Amino acid sequence: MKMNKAIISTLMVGALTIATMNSAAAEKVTMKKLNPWTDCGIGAMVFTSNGAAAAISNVIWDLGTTAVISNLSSQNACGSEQAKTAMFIQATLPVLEQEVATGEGEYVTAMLELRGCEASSHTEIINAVRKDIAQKPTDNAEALYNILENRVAASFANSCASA
Amino acid sequence: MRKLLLKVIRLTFFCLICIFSCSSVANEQSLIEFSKNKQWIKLLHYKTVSTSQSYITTPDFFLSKTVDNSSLEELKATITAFYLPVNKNESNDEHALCRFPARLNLIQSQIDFSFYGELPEVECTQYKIWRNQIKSDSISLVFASGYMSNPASMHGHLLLKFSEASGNKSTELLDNSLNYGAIVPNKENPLLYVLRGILGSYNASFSDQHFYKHMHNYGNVELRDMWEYKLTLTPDDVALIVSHLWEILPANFDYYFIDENCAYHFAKLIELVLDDPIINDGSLWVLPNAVTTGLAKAIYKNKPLLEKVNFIPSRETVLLNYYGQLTAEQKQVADTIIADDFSFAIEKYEALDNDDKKIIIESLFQYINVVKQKDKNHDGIKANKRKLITERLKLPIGKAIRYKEEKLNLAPHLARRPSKVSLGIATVEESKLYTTTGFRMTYFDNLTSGVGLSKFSNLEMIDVEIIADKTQAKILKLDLIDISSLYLPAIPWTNSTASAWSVRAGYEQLNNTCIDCGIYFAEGSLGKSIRIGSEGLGFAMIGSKAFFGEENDVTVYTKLGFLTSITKNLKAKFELQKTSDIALSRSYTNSLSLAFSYEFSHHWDVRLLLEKKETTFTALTINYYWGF
Repeated sequence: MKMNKAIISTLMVGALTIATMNSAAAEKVTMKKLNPWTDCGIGAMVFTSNGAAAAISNVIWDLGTTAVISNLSSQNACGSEQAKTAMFIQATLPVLEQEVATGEGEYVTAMLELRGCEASSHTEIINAVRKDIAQKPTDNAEALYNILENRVAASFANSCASA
Repeated sequence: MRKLLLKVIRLTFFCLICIFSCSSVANEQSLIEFSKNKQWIKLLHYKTVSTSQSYITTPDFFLSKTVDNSSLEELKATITAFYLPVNKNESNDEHALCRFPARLNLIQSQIDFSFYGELPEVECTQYKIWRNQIKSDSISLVFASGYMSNPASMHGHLLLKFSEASGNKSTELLDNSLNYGAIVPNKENPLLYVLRGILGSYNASFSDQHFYKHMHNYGNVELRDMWEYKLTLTPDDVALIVSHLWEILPANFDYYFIDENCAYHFAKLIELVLDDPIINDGSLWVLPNAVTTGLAKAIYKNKPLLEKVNFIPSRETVLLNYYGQLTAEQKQVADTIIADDFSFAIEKYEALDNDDKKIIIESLFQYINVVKQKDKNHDGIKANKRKLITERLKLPIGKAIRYKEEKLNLAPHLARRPSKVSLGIATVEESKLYTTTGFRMTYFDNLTSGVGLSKFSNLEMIDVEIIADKTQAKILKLDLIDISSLYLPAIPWTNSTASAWSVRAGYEQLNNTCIDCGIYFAEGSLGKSIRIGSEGLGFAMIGSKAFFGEENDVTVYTKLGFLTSITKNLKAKFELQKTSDIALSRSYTNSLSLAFSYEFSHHWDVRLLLEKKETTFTALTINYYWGF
């Protein structure tokens, strides 16, 4: 009987300790600003045709060059709106940046939808992003993502999904 | 651990006894009957109803733990697994109820097994997350046009796309899509790639992604047009397909380029909810085009399966479309901007109003995208693009030019069927009379109507012609491949002409004087072409040809040609070739050919060939086009 109690107590303490550690870790994660390029490895994942990517995904026959990564079915680790938006920007930058400069287009709409921004706010957001880019030109996906995130945080937090 | 295992085994045994020993004979009978259910067989991907051999090679997919168990054994194993309690050492997601939602759905809809007791309650977290991401009010099959840079993609490619009912154009990029392909090691040797693809030594699997990745890869990088075939499937049937995807995503298949390819497995996936097949089960080869043809013919719940076809232009098609919309002045200003290294300090540009400026910049965006893909070593693209973006940011938001729908982009299912048999007569020097018979495996030649196919192109594989007289029959020619693209349009503003190329390899008679002088060959040529009128094309090419057989040799040649549509149904091709006076080609340094094709129905045409190659060869053939 004593033995059982001891085991139960040990398990409870263990469970509590693990739960505390987990919540602490979770808090730490939420405190830290997500950088999808380093935290989710987006830069290495998208359009990489290296062996590792091929092993975890599926280098499709049709292209022979396209590493199919970040499948929807294995997207939990970095499944937040920000990570999805970052992945979209990384994958489609050549066309997306033109549409951002133009101020409209299906890639711009898709980016803001992925980011969880209300449709009614899209024009205002992209206007603001255009102004930021005009002042500080971007030449890579991460820079465009940071401008969007900063602009959302500063002016459109209520219109978009929370970080 | 061992105790737990024993407990699970005992429980399994108990369940089995309950289900199969204690159940009535009638229930056993219903299981036997259901195990022959077409949809159940399709869920297991069995090759035929009568065999238990599956296309899926992953043992874990089969709960009876072997890949060649009967559909009845798999059914019993599945029901048993559904009733198993959750293994505490495993995630809930490993439970059969979570792994096989389509099997559960189908079995529950057909068999009443409530008397076996309540199914355990299992929270399928992973499946729920995945399922919630799939917008699945409707299904489309997307056909990506042929891609000449990859032998496996020359016939086009298929993928599946799921959309919301209220889906509008702006959100289609975020639709979910499903691809199927071989798992190819990185930096695979190209020859090995082709051989292994044909011989079936690659594994293949399905993969799920947002559609934007395919849109970007096919449309923006590889510059391939796409057609979306929207289907009329009911929400219930779409749901069954989606839940089955979850079952097969972890599974591997064998990949065979010729038949068990993307086209075949997407057809099978859609057939899950159809009464009749889209493609014949006995097909020796399966092309993406055959699936689109099957979709267009298929009847589903007493109405056409195909709702509509949407054209999705590639970046290059958009560029050519925009270019066609520009005024002469806009084209000229754009040309000056390019020539001036993307400087906008140009008087004529500065004098334009904002709309004209926007139109020019947005057209140049398309231009620079295409240049980037076609000329990877082009200097200064990145810097020039920055200049374009900077200039565009100065102007108000809003697109000033949009893609204008064209009638030219007819869908691939309208194309002529890919395989051909022919019968004919031929004469040599008007003295000897022969009969000819021919067979072509795939796909089209440049005398075929361009509807739904690349105009001025030739893509033939395994094309054989036999010539015979009363005493003998010989192979006149056997083309293993005969591929050419005679019109690769020039990029606007580059001041270049269209280019052309061709590759051919096989076996043929050296010239027309004998039918006993066969030789193996491989040849390739490059050149330039120019459009003459709306239907004509002139081309000039230089090439080289190697001979193998009793003699090995190499020769070079130049040729001039003209290809045109005289009427809607009548096409003609003229070719004049000058071959170097060396090697085996000495016997025919000058040759010319003239061919006419008259299409008198979608499946039939008649052709006349006149060829002067040392002696004159004349052939009249009637050709029937078909496909699996």
